[in-house]
Amino acid sequence: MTVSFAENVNFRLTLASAQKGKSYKIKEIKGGMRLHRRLLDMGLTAGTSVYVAARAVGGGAVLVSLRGVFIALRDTAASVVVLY
Amino acid sequence: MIDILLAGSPNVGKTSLFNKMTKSFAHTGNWQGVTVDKLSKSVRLGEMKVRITDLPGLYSMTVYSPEEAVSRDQLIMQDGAAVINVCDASNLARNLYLTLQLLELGKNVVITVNMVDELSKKGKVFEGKRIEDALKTPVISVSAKYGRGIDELLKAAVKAAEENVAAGEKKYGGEQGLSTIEKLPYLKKLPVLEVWQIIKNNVAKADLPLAYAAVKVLENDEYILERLKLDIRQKRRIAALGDWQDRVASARYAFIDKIVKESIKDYDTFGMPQKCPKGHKSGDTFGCVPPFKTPPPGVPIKSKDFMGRERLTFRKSKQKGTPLEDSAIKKRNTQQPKLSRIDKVLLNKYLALPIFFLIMLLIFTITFYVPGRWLSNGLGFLIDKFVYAPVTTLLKSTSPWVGGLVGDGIIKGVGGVLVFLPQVTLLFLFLSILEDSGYISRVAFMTDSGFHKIGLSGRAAFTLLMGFGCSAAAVLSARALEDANMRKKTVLITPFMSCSARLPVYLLIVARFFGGNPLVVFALYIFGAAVAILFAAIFERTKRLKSADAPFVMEMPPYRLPSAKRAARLILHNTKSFLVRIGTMVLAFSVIIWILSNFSLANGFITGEGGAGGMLDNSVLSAVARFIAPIFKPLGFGSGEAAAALLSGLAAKEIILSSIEALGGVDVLFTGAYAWLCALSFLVFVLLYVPCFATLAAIGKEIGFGWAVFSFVLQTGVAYVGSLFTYTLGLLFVKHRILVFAALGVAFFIVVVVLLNRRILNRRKRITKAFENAK
Repeated sequence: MTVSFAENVNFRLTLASAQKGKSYKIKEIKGGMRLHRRLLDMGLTAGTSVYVAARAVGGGAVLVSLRGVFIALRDTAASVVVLY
Repeated sequence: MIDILLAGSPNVGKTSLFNKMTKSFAHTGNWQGVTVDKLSKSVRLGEMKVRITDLPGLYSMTVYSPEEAVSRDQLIMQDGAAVINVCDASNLARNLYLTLQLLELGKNVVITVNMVDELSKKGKVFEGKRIEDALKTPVISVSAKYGRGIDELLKAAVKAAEENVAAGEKKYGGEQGLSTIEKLPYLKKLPVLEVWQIIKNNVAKADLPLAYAAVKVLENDEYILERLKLDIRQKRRIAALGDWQDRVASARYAFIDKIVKESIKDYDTFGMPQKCPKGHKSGDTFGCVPPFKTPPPGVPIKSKDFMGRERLTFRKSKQKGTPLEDSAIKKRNTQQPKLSRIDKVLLNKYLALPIFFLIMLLIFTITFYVPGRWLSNGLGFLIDKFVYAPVTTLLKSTSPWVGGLVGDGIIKGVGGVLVFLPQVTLLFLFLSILEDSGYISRVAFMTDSGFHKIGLSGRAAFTLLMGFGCSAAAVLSARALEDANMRKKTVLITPFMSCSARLPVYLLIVARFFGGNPLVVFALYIFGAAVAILFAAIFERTKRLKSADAPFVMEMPPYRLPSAKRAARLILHNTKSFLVRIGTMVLAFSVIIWILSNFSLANGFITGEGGAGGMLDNSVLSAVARFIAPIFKPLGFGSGEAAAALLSGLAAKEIILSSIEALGGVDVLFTGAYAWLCALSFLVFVLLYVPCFATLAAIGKEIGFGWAVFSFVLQTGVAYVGSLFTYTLGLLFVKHRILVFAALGVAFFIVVVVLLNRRILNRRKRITKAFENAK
């Protein structure tokens, strides 16, 4: 399957690539078993609004707020949370 | 015997509630993992004996760590126990997630909501009654800080437990399951009954509550699935129902969000607040407004105008003259808090790290210079004058060697460690302040990505940095690290961070051979840190020390004013363990060293000079030094004096300095045309080799005696290799400059090629990943 790199590739917006200072709605969690459950338990369910409060220096962890608290996610975890 | 379990998320105040209830003094702290195992105590309530158990914090009944597993197991096993579910008002949604699971489990729960006063400060009102109505569970307001409401809570819990006992054997039958579904209406959205049909028999055999097991099966919970032991057919039928994991969580949270919306309201949307009943104190908010000194904007204030008429005024918002607008109210109502002002600064891209370094610098200065060093020196002086001098003169007059043993051996040895006490205490004070206030979590957040690559977490940053001050204290602070393997790794590499005791040695030698050039000292520090990082990476690759899959998700606690009480308790506890454990080890070693340096096999007791035995004499210690000296020949300092100095450094690094002086000064140690190189090699050895006995004792205490031995061997080995490397490379450089430059050139070339290759590889990986994501 040859797809030219220049074509419009549909890529997922995840918390890893979210912008600081913006609010997003969670679409789904696309990820591994334990991580998936842990994220759900912490409140990152589909349809929840999260606000990206801060990013760690040089990428890496991201701090989001939802349901009244702040939660820090490592980049591996953040890249699994798919947003609208 | 009535059993009551205290369950709840980490850090909500379970343990302090436990302490208040049982009037005991278990340890609390603002970090996770303080309560590591269940803690039970019995109290007497009237005629009854009640056993209260404090469980480790738990986010959900699906567990991620051995501590959480302890809680889960107790909750499932103790089916007769009632549960006091401790919740934090400012974190209500997530706390209720566990509550729902406890109710699914069919436990008799009494909810208590803590920290309601913090909510009031934000201008919100908490209505516990709404939760009570929604969950049909008693909600009792307690102030763990002020100790009110606790008796009421206990009584309610006991009542709940008694109801439990009355229910008896019917606990895990079908009726119980149906009643659970009635109680928690969101369960109706899930195919619980279908799952029920499939797992009916397994559930009875596994002795689990039906509703709970059914929901957990829908969640793909490994633990429950394991306990149920389903066969292939059952598994297939369940798989046919589809993946309900996300929907279970969504259903729970949808239910929770509704409850929270009803129970936490702003003053203005709440309408005119009711007056609080008499005797009401802040923290008791249950639908009334406690009196404020300065109410937040939006809360009406009663005041009298110039004619004495009563008026209601509102405190204005920040903008002068404008009342709060709808949008502002809406902003406060949303459940997405923005960063507090403090956080905005502390987590700022550019400011965060510099601020951190400044804070660390401040801590260092206070602890190790002013006033820390003064206190230390002062204490040393006092011990010298009032303990050492009188005791020794007294004993020496009677018997010289007893005097020597007690004086030079015990008092000097233990005193040497005691002198550190002020500094260690200061360090622990700062540690507890930073930890309690929540700052360490911010630091961990900032530095996490870097540390993760070498298998540590951001919390290790603090321990390692403390190592620049005192390795022993730094090792003790590693207790706060979550993962056992990570703790081991951090403790093992901390000694490579050059502690402040080694500094005098550097300064002396650099002054003599390098003109006091600070760059040399700086280079040593950097080299030490580099070795530490290197070994962290190496350890991470080994099977034994590999970090478990760390939690990718960390909660960021809100800023809290550190409490003096908690700090005091922490400091007391830590200094006590410092003194006791380390003191005894150091005592033993001091005595041994004294004996070795003041006795010789031939002449018995000889009066040596302190720890190093003066000019190399006949003492056992000197004999040992002379014996091992040849080992150091290839490193450039193969003299007995150097060996003696290094040996004495095992007790404490500062002693190296006095040993060198006593043995004749640096020139005796480093001779020859390349004396400066020998000195440099010696410096590297001092940087890397075993830290003082106090540190070894601390390591043994934190991660075990075996690892302490390993650390000893590791440090010595690395020091040897490092020195060897320095000396031989140095010699090569001096004698055959061209060769070294050529070698460096080749190395550089190789590094560049490798890096380029990696960039190309990574680019290819990135492109393929983009394609994957697109599918």
